[in-house]
Amino acid sequence: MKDSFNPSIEPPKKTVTLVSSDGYDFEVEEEVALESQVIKDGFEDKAVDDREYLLFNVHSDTLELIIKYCEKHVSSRKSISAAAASSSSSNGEEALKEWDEHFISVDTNTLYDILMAADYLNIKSLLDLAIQKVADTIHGRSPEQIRKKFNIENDSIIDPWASE
Amino acid sequence: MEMDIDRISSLPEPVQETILLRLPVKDTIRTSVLSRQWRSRWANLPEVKVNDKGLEKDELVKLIDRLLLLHTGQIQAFHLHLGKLECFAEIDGWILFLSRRGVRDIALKFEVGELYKLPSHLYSCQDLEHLQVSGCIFRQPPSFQCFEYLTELHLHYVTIDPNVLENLVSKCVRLNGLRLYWIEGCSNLKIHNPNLGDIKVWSDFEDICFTNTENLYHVEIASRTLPAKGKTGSLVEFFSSLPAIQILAIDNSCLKYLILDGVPEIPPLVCVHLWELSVEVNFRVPTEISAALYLFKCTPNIEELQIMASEETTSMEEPVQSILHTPGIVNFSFHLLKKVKFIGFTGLKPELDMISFLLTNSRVLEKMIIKSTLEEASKASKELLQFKRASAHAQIFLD
Repeated sequence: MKDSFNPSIEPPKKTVTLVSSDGYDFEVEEEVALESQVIKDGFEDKAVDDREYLLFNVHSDTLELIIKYCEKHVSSRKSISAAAASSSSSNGEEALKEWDEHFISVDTNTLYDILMAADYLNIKSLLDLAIQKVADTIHGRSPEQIRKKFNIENDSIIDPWASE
Repeated sequence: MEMDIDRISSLPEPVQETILLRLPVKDTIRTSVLSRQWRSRWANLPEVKVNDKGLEKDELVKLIDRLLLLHTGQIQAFHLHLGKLECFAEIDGWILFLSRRGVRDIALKFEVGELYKLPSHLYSCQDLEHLQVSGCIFRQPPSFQCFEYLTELHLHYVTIDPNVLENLVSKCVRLNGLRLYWIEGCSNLKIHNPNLGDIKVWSDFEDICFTNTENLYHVEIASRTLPAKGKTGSLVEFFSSLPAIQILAIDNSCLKYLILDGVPEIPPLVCVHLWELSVEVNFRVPTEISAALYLFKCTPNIEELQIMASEETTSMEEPVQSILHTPGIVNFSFHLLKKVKFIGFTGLKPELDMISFLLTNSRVLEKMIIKSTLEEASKASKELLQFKRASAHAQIFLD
């Protein structure tokens, strides 16, 4: 293995701290945090010793999920490109898709939290995944079923002029 | 667990919009009855993308009529895909409607029945940036000038007059990408547009001519009817009209076409910017092999090369002498070639020679991938692992 040849040469992984809306600190590797376009955009301008991000809109429960998602994607990307470089066939992308599918199979409230966090942090692939999940939930359901699923109140005024 | 409060209705607008755009149009419209807030949400969507999956004609017509009638915002994109229904007259009316609404992107894909005659209203869509039509007849009203903003034009299974095509391509000055797949009614392709960057041709033409195409950087040609009798292709002319070319992919018909006029002993000019080359070669035909070698001489700066062994099983012509002795190819080397992919390897002697040639003349080669589906090829491939390699880092992968 190339990596284990001289491990002491590898620099220590840089980390950043993400602080959830309810005040919990999450220390994550830099590249994991940079999955968020919002963090990435402001990253260069931030002082080197100031690696803390206050995420006022993301609760710790959600943040934990988001970090799990980003970590998985960073590591999968590495193994997929490593497999491609050696031309060995890999089903990495297929496996990641399956993982995503499983990841996003959550209750509607959690789905909503993930959707809002992904939008706020601008994590495009996660936002896509969550949006597709909502679309799949709506697809093929009757209006009544959709209302029930998402708890939408039907406040439409019944048109007295409408013909039967 | 169901939601306690209605949070989906308070999602940011762009997120809601994306959700609605992901839905089949029938579901999208149905969201209008969910609540007052949802009633008009879909009517502002900038894109209308409809296919006939699970819909009868009457249902589809009613759906789109309603959708266009009630739409309140700008419709930037209109995509209609008929996979099982035949075209119908109502489409003309929709295009007329769209032409008055500043539509920028139209895609019409009709897979069954007679070809759809594109209505003249299409030519009034002056804001068009993307146009993709499939299964249509293209006619052009005499008064038509051009689509001033058109950047992408994709024609699939389209009947078009050669003059109309030439005119369309040359007059749309912003045109950057052109795709021509299975074009009917047009045997000579003349491309004339100084802004064009990217062209893919998968269609049977008898002659292909580029003029005034100084920005064309990506060219892909697969055209079985090349070279036609009585036509002359010229490699010199071909490359001199493509000074900016970076990526070239051609099939063996096109390869034969390019050398139809013969080739000058020394390549008159080299494609200095070309870094990716993909070429199909029939290894049973010596002239094709030498044509490919000649093409390499014209493209000394390539970094990636893909060779596809043609599947045509013409009988082997007179035993090919080792290509390594082809005149003019001695003392040739690729100084930037890093990646080679050889597809359809069958173990023929000329194929092995070609691989050996590439290995001995590519000093910075990193990777050679050889793909084969045949059993007997695996025997031959063991032999090639022993070939001398000019690059110390060259790795060979058999697939």
